[in-house]
Amino acid sequence: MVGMSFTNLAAGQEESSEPSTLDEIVVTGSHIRRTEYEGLASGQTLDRSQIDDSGADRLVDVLDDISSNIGSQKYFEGDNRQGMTQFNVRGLGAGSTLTLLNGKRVGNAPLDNGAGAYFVDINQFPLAMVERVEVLTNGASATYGSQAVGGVANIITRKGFEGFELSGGYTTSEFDAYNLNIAMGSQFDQGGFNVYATYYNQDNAERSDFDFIVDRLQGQGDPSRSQFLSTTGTPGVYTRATLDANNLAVVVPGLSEFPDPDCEAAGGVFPEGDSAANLDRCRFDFGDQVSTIPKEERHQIFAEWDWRFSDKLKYYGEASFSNNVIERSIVGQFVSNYSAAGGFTIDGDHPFNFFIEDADPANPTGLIYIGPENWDNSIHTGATLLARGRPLGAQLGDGDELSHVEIDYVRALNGIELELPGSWYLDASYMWAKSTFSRLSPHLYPATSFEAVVRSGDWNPFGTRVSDPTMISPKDGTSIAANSDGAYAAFDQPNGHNQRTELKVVDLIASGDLFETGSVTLAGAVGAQYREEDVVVVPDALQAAGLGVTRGGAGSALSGGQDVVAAYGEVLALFGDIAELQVAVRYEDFGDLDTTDPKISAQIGATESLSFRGSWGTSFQAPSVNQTASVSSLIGVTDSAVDDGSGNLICGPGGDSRSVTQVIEGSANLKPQSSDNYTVGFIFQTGRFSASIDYWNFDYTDLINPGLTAQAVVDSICAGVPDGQAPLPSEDISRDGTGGIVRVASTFNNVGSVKTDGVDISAAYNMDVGRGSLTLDFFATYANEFEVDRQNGSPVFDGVGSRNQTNGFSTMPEWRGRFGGTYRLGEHAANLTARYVDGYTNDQDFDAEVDSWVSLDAQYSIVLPQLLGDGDTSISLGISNLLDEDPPALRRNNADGTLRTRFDAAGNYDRAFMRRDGYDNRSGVDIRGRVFYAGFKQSF
Amino acid sequence: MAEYFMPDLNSPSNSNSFMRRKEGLTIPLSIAVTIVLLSLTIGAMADTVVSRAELKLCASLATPHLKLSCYESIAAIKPDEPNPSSDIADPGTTSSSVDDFGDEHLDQTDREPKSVVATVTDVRRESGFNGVLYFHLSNGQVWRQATPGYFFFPRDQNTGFDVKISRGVMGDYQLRVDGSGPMTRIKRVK
Repeated sequence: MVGMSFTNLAAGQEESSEPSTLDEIVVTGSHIRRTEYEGLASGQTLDRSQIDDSGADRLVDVLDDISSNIGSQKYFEGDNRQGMTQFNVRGLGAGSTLTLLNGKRVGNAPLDNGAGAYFVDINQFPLAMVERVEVLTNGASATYGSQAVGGVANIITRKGFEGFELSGGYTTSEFDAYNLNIAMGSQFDQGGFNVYATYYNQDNAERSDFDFIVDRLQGQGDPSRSQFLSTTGTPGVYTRATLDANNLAVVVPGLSEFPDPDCEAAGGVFPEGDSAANLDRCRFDFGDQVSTIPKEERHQIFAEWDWRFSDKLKYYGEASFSNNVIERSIVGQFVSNYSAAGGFTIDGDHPFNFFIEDADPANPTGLIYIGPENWDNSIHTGATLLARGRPLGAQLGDGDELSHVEIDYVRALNGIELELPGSWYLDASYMWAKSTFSRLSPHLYPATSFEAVVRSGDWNPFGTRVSDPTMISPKDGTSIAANSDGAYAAFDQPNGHNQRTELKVVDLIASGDLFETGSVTLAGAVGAQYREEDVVVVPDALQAAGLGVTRGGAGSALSGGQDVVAAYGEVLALFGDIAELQVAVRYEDFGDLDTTDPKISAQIGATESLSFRGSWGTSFQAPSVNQTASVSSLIGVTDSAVDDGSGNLICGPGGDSRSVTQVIEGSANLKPQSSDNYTVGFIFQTGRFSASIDYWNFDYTDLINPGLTAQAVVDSICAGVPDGQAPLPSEDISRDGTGGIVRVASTFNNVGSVKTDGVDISAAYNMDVGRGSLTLDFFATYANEFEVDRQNGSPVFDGVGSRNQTNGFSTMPEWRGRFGGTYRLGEHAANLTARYVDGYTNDQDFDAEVDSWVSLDAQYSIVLPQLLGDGDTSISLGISNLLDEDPPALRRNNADGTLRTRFDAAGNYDRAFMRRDGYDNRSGVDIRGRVFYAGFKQSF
Repeated sequence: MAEYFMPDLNSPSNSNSFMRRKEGLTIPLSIAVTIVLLSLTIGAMADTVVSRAELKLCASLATPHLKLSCYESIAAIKPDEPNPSSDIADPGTTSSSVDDFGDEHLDQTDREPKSVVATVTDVRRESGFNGVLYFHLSNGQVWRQATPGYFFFPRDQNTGFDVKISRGVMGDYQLRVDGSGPMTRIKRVK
């Protein structure tokens, strides 16, 4: 492994080398023990001092410092995955990087990535436990099995650390965060132990806390220009209706909507710059009801130990627990699954219904609003209305309604190491890990309960409930406009969701020397593994029954498992100090399918400082439990068909936009995604300089795809159908009684491939400057090709320099890198680090340009020896993103390739000129803006 | 700073005895001993006798800080404690080990010095510029950094430099140049 990590030698010192006394270790990518830290594999390593120097206070901060890792999703606005993050080496998918802890598997996050792929949530580990992160940047299924496709991220703990450290930090940006950490450890003849613990607390941040979001998406502070205006407003809109045979409102054909007369007084918003048909809709501004950054509080502990019972037998173990409590704000909820046609019924005699019918054909709404002041029971008769709107909106406040999420991880590993005759070792271990996600949200509004309270007159759905709360209805002389808590309680339900995954792994590895002849040493390892993975999804009962906000019953219950048996072998040949050859093969059996993956790696020293290395192998990612069962999620679609006004669907513009349930059905016939990959490169290393260049090439086929996107399924029914004609029938779309879409289905299949290649470059240099020492390190990744062939008739997509949103992959800038320098002199250290993410295009919006991003971090730290007693105190102060660079804007183009701007060609405001979320949540940029931080470490 | 005493750096038995403290310890005992260490060593400071050789040794040290530490430490040796090192000779070879058997939690005298002062004659690095440092002491001991990490030490190695090696609260060993600079955690390899 090429370390970009190094320490410094004091000024003026020419080092003499020392033979190693380090214990044997197992390097990432091999099961064979060896004393040399250097291995065959190409990779990128970030060690403790680099992590410290970068000011990272969370493991997520490390992701952006590893240039081969691209496309990790760090921000999950309004998503259940808030608080999680993952490695994504080579951008081949969250489930295509295997994340290990000390070379062993870790349990998956309780939630998949939305497309059925599971990943390891790295936020579960206390940063204080990390000695280094080794990223193997080529496939390694021959060693580790499923998921090791794009690479392997191996988190190495500080095992063996002796001492006691207390550290903490505080960061302030658009939100504040602080952390406290303990690291301790002791070693004795028979064994040792280490314990690390972290407490982490971060505040929430709403959209308007970020100036760039206000600028790009929130109309620069003008609510009518905000992109976050829901067409389902609160108060909403009313359409004249009649009661059908079921006593439910049915819209009178040909009449248009009447917005609530007190729309703005009641907190509603009329938008600027929209199609004429939508301008009159009373909208609801939900922009700040969604957390961009949720409030999080983490308690995490990790312990590891070993005990030598005899010279031949050692017991070892690890145990960890992580609890993350997340509070994220949610918007005023919908009522859905109305019994009536697309909304709820308001009877003519509702105490606050001051609409009467108007027979004048020139009145497009067929309604006249009389209002409470002029209402006269002897003259006026209320009109039957079909209403569309949410029960509550702006009244819920900005960020006051919180969804409580708890993510827990438990993991235990126990194993023994037995010395066998002939210097062979047997390593047997059992790992158990469990992750749970539980969410309790307020405000699920079952339509039937809501409609009952409205029709009884106990709930006032009109704007007067806010604009004139003390008004007494002139219709009945008793009802008060404001709604009572009791009326609210009659339909306000909580909404819970639980999900968990469990992983059990039994590992048996025997390794040792095979033989030695002359200068050739042969070592080998054989092993077997049993893995059992279980997934359980327990959705909210009301939701599952289709009575909640998710019209199609999102969150189907799921309970499934997967058993895997694997066997593997590895041989390592050392030809003196000159060359190494590693051959590995692994067989994995999933019951329905099996796969055999070989890998061969070699390194040859040309001179003392120059070596060449290369590898070839195959890797795979097996279908997950979900992908063989089903996945469902809530997704927004715009109907390609509209109601012709008489209850018939016709193709044409103006279809309803709504949240629907997308169900991706699993398939038992899925094959694993499989990859061929090879790397070639060289390493140059002298005393003070090291550099490496590696070319990598992946051919990843049989990709497991969720089929068409929900929108594509919806669009397909009107493809080629002239406007005004009936859409094509589709079994994949379910509609409710009103014709509105509730559910869209697709099926997982093995379609498509991606071919990618590129170059990783790293260099490090250490020099004396004055009495101090300067260390420079650089690494960058160049993507040459990322060709996505979806094999669906569309042309092969060139994903380099693209956001890759339309093909399910992640942002793939051509260049990405980091350049850092640290100067150390005695007790002082100063660090300057620059990060670069190349510009690319947003393929979701006709390849609009997204700018490149440069951030500059600076840090100063000082060690104060024996400030408090015997230990040392370190203080660090730093600024991340010194230049306060906003994340690049997620721009949109028009279909003709011209850039969409704030005002269109006609001078009208274009509320949607920028793509939500305003920034790219997978491009590896930091949205926090300039971050100030201070940290301390007390060593005892 | 009087809670440690100064062993004779030239005595092989003494220098070897440093680090032997942990042999046979169990986890809880290690912690317990660490916790009570401070108070007990202070209690053991009562009457003191100072030998000429020890004074001479202290006088030979390079910096005032180390000299002071050295003088303070020899002042802490109890008169009725014949030789701290003989007390902790190999447990398997002395009759006292039988007497000591099982009394680790009862015997509350500090058998090992809290720190020693030594002269580093050579510093070597394991490999490249990211390897751990090895400190070769004038008494033949070799210690290495526990983990790689920057450590600043005097540039002129020819004359060597003095360091203080002390015990941390978790039984770890810490090395400081002149006894006053930043520490690096070390492990003894020879």
